[in-house]
Amino acid sequence: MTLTDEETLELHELLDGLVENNLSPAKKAKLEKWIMESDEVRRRYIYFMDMSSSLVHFADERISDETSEEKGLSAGEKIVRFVRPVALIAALLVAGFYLPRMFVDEQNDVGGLVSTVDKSSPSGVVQEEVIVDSVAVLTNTVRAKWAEEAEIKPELGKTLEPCTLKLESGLAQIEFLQGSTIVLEGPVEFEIVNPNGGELLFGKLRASVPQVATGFSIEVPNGKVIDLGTEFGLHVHKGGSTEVFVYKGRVLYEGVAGEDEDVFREISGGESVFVDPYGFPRWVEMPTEPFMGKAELAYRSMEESQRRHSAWVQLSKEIAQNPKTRLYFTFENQDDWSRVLPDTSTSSQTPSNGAVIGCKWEEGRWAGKGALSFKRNNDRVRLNLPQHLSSATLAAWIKIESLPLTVAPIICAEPLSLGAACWSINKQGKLALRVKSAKGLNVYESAVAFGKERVGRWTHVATTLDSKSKMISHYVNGRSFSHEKMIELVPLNFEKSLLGHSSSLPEGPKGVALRGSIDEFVLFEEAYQEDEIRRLYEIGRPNEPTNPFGSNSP
Amino acid sequence: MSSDPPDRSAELVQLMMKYQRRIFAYIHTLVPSRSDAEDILQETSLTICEKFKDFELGTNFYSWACQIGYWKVRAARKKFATAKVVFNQEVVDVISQTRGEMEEELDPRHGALSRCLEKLNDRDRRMVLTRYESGKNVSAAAQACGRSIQGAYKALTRIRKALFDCVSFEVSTEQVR
Repeated sequence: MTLTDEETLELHELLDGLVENNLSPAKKAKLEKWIMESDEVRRRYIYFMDMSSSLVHFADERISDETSEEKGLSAGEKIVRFVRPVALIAALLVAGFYLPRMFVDEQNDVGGLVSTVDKSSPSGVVQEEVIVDSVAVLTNTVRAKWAEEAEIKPELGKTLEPCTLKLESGLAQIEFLQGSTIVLEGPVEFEIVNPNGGELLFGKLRASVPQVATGFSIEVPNGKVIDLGTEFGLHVHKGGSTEVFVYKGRVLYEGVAGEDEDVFREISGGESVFVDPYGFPRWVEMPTEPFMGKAELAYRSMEESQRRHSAWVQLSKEIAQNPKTRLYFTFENQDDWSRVLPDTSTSSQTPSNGAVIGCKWEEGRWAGKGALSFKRNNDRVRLNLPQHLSSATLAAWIKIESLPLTVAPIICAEPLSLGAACWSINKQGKLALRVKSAKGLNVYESAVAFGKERVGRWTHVATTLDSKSKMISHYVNGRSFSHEKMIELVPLNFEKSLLGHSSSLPEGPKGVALRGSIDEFVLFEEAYQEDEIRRLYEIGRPNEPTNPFGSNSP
Repeated sequence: MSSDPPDRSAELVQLMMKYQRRIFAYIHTLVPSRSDAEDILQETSLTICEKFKDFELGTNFYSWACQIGYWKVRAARKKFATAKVVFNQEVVDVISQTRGEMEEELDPRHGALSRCLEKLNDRDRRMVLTRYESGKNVSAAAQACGRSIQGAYKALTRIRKALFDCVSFEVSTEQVR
């Protein structure tokens, strides 16, 4: 039976793997079966291997010619030189046969011949390094905890220059600028080397390499794994052994075994190779542990989101029932058409529900959680909070779409009475609390807290007013950004106030919207301490988004 | 009265020079790993030297040497590392038998390969011959030709297929002549 074109190509692929000593057990079994069953395959196999032997002969002949030309050897000497010393001469000598003088001389030249063989480098890879500052981006994390001694502890969305990442636990997804993605699973130590490769010093990773990034390579203790268009997992054990598992496509493992034996393995989808600490590879059925992939990472992210959401639901019940809570908007369980923002605090006899004007409902920190966006000039939530608060904590989860040209109001009361307050982010990116006093306006600002890096990302902001210590404190993502002595003690009020909007800012146009979203807002009649603010942030912290660049990507 | 056997070393050297490539090719067909095949060739050569006194001039030296090679392969199979590609004995036997039937076809292919190598461009010829030099591998071939290793890997696959087809074409053309 004649082979089809496809079968012929497949056969040659198997034969190539065979002569490169790089055939998996499954492929070897297939070739054996094929050789046994098909006369044509058997004949082609013999032609191929015979050609391989002839190529050995011609390669040696070329060496012989080049050496003869260099040394000016005679034709007779050339013939002798062609005879492979390792095979024949040594054999004859051991057998004690008389040899013509020229053979003995030839043996003495063996060292000269061998010395022309370059064994200096196990790898002939021509690196096409791209010299740029940033080579990768941290694009996703799940409970990622960087090691204490790590040289860098990047935040989500951080662009990365060549560096060593030490992840103690959790998962971190890195996207290389040439398109490859790896997921590191802590504990792991990985060095980012260039936009298309790195070195796995210890631990596990899974790589996904699109066509455009073919050639992506990762160094491991005894060699290197070179992608040939694929998805694969790597595990470097503490003892220096390495496991390579290919999910789909092919990778090439090249390394050095023992002292100087070059080894290669081409590993295809579903195949796995174990490289021992001395560099000797062997085929194994399955890796010892699964490798985290993007899909699994997404799944774990979802699980993480659900876990976080559940924790926050508990916290929100606690806040709603807290007797010090004066106003609490959870933005939960709202229909798209809903125009009432319910105050869920249970301490007030009359809840201060807000009237939604213009704003659109959108997704909040988690899938399924609501938020209101304040994008157009007239977007706002009108509310009325009659109490005057001598001590207070304002806290909110907000996401701004751009840095404010004038101000980004979170909640502002109309400045009609003493203590009327406006809480906002000013154009310098500072969290600010303005309070109307008898003498004018008292303004309390934090250090600069909002830059480009916060645009498009959910951020927790809080400001406390403590009548006992007479301090105003600002917090961003649970951390203190400033403490300031109050200029005068004026109880705050939010009578006739607007959420996400201000219509009476001295430096701005008549009406200014937040240009962003709010998905939680709470007002306590009590000054929370830093640890309490931190708790609000930690429990409410969203799972990190898959694409953290959001709207600030260049 | 005892007499020393006649010195047949010159005769042996001549025969080995003539047939060594083919003996190696036979062994390499049964043992795809080149280094293993070279080891077995060396052992085979030793035995040939030892047994040469029993070889009758005028009989087929190549067949006699291949028989020794075949038994060396059988004996060596158990010694091979598991990571190396070793065929089942059944497969080895069927290959050996088929090869015996094809011997006359193979010699012309060696000559044809020489011509086909000349048809390759310089870079491809240097690549493939460097790869087959003693002690060299894909990495060395890549380095010699300024290519990446995966590029060299693909190139070698392409070149081998091209040479195989060229040789088949050359041989079939010769038969027509």
